[in-house]
Amino acid sequence: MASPQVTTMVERTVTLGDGRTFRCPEGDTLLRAALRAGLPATYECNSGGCGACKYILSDGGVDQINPDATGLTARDKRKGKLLACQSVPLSDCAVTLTLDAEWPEGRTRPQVAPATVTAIRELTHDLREITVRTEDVADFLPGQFAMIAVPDPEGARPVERAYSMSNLPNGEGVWQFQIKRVPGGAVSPRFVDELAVGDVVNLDGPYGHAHLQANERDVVCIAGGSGLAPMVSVARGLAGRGDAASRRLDFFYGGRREEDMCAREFVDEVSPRLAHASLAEAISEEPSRDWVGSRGFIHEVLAVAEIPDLAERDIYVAGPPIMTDAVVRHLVLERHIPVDRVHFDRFF
Amino acid sequence: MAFELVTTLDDLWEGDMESFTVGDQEILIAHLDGGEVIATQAICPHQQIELVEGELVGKTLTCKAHLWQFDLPTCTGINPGHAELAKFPVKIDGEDIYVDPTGDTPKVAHS
Repeated sequence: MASPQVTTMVERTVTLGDGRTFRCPEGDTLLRAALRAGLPATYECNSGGCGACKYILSDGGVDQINPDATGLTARDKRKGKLLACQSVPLSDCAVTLTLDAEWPEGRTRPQVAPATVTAIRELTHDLREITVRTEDVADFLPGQFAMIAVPDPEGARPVERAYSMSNLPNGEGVWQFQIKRVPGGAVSPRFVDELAVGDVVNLDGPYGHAHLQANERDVVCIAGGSGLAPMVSVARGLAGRGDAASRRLDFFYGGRREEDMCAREFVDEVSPRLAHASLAEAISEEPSRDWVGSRGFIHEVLAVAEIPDLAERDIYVAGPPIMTDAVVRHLVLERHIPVDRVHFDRFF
Repeated sequence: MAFELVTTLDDLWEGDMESFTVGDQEILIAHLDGGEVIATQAICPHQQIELVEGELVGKTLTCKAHLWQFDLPTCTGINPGHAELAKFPVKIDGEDIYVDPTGDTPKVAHS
């Protein structure tokens, strides 16, 4: 595969506490290089916010992409910890990095590839579905995300942000994202307002743990705002399974206003293939007289929804941090759902 | 192997917890309501998150990241039930809290 960031570059050697080594191409982060090498380093957001990839540097030098990343608390800093997702080795390094016991089954190693925008579709007033195409296959699990980067004329590194795929893995190299305009956001307006068919972005992925599980449990998807994309992918993945006709899906989507609601077409798309599919949409702001859906935050709607076998379901959650937090707290602390059944990647 | 003086009951009141580096171990000491003092691993067995940044209510510690919950007196998981925490030996001498950092090994769990 053509991957401009990892060819003809200087490579650093990174040595782990147990003596294993991996190579880190110049400019790549410790976390991504470990994952590309097939080492199951712990992480979640790959964006500096969650703190799951903390490590200790015992030898060598690293550059910090964002030294003030919120995933590192004052206590972590006192202890000399760093974030692997924000560390770019400047020399060979020795690190103490936490690894999972084994590489999770079914997950592909992330790769970098140029991707060309092939289609743009308006989903709502501020949400666009962007389709890009890579030369190689689009290999990921439903619910995972990728990093999309565009050159930054003013900065040393490209402007980059994590977006979840909304489609399913495929052999044609097609990746679909739903990109929302974030007021004041550095990256989103550029994607929403400026990206056009024919533009080339850098795509790096897949990443993420909150993907459709390979089991027979019925599913609940809970999405808020720009968290719709991965939940659509999970729903499509469920409908694409051989046992789809016996599977049940309850889908919740929360937004601010009626004009944000756009989940219906996706639930209608998967519903004929499933034993059951429901959609509950809710808006948090004052509705117009025509609004027949729920009013309130999505965790409040979930709290009164009748899903008697909720504790037996796999529950997928994606959305803004406050929403994800409220939903997961409701599920785990109030409903006592086993944490192993609640799947989410935290973004900040 | 050896108990080390880590803190005092005067610095760690009932209902409080704090994380310390003892020997080469990162250790959380919790002074539970009722007086029991527990020394456990400072980092959640799930990911690299400081447990001291979570919530301690009664004998239950909830990690801030994924809401994993632990029963501190037994150092076992409430949710998920398969999780465990290391439990380091504690000795109280007057006001002084001593911990043996070699008495256990931090546990790692995967969801």
